[in-house]
Amino acid sequence: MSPIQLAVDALSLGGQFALIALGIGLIFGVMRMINFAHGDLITFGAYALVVPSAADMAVPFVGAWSAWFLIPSTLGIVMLATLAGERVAFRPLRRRHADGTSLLISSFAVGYLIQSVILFVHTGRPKSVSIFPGLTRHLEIASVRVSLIDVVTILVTIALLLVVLTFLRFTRAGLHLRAASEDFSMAKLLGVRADRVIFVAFGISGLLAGVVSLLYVAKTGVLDSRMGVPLAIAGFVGTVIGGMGNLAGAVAGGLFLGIASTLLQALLPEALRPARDAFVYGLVIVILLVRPGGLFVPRNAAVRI
Amino acid sequence: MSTLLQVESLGVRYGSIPAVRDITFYVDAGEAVCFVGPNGAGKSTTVLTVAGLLAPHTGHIRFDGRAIDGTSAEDIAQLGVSLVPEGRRIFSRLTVGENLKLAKSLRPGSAAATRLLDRVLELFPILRERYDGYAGLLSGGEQQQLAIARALLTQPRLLIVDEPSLGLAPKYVDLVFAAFAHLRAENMTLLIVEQSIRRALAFADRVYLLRSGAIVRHGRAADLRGDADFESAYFGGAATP
Repeated sequence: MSPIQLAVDALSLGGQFALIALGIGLIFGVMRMINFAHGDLITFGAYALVVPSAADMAVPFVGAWSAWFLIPSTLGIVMLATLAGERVAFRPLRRRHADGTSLLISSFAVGYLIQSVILFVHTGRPKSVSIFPGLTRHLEIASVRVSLIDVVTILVTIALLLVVLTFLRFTRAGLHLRAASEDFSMAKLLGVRADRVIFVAFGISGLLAGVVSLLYVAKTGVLDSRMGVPLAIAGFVGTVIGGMGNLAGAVAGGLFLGIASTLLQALLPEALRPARDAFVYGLVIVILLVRPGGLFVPRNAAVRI
Repeated sequence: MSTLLQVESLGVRYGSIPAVRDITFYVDAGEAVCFVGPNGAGKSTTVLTVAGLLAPHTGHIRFDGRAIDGTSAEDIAQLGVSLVPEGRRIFSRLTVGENLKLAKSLRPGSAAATRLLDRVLELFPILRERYDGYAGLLSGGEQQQLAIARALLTQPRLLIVDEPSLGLAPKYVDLVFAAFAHLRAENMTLLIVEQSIRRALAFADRVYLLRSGAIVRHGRAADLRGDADFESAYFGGAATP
């Protein structure tokens, strides 16, 4: 594989993981809760593309619409599902001062609920669906063939990260969210509205999950009721190695994990490639042993006296 | 003088352990009141409860005549109670300017807020110099100034500061209390938690002495200065309520 192909693959996968890690990191920042339902919300967005049916052959639903309707509809559906999850499963627990363990279990419950409903409606058999078929072709860059969907994934990731980071950096709601991510009770003491901040965090997280739904289906063309689980785990690991509660770190952690996975896949001897994930997660253990707070803990994190 | 904060028979527990027992006190508008007492006296628990971060087990809290026990911290802040908690808790990953803008954004839209920012930066000039730097890089004394400035920008009617001198070099303690004196001259209502009796008696209109979760003495600072019994009560001696 040429270095350009390898770089495109690595950045494409790393970009997806970065979007997932940011989605998980945003909610962790304000709730101190790992939303394990995030992966299943990605699955939910993917299944919204087809007509609910137990038939083996998927019939496109939202997936049959033009991109102008398909993209905002899918993003809107996943955002609404994410916000509904917050309203029904998390907010009542938060109001009763439930501890982190209860919230974590609740997020597992939301995830399994989504998986179970999909299994019930669509059965457990994977389905295939094609969206944006033009993106499956290849491009020639410096006489190297690269997949257009990977290039689009990288560009969408960069654009989306810029939009989200600009929102966080330059808007009032973004400032409130960053402050609440660092010290939620202090933000509340100043008068920052907790419900509003959490609503914004879940909304952005849902948007990011929806984008990953579209990118994943556009690339693989496959729907599976458990497709979101490994994605959520990758995003969660990215969040942890980036430094919990540090949003830029979550992005960097997700990117790092995607790049490491791709490089190991390409560089490991062929006989060891099936064990790639063992190497990836072994590396994660080493990183956490050396830097328990994460790779990208900011220099200013330590408070001087 | 009207009463701004009225707390009656307040009790707070951590699980089954009582931290504050049957505390009654008040703060009049424009007054400077100090809580003094040793570690574990219940001072911080009391102010955290007034600010809405802890729920009272018993008793009532009224702010400007309105019951606020059971009200959320953000609603209490919106009513005009601002707490600078122990340890300052500035947002270290935000810049100094962002910490201040955040507070200013909570009382949006007025030219008065911008004038207030200028005034706060005059009160704490180091914050103007460090405006674009990360707040986590400030020294402890500078962080305390930022925490107070941030609280002031929410335009509080009652400013509560928990242990402002804790861990600070004497020059910063002097600077912080000079700022309090300035605020007091402008009729700001202050409730300060302070371990130093000398400083509390020198600064406050009235002082409450807490020990083991209860108020054991209170009175006008002018009357308590030089009162050996008061000092003895602080260090654990018998108190005359």
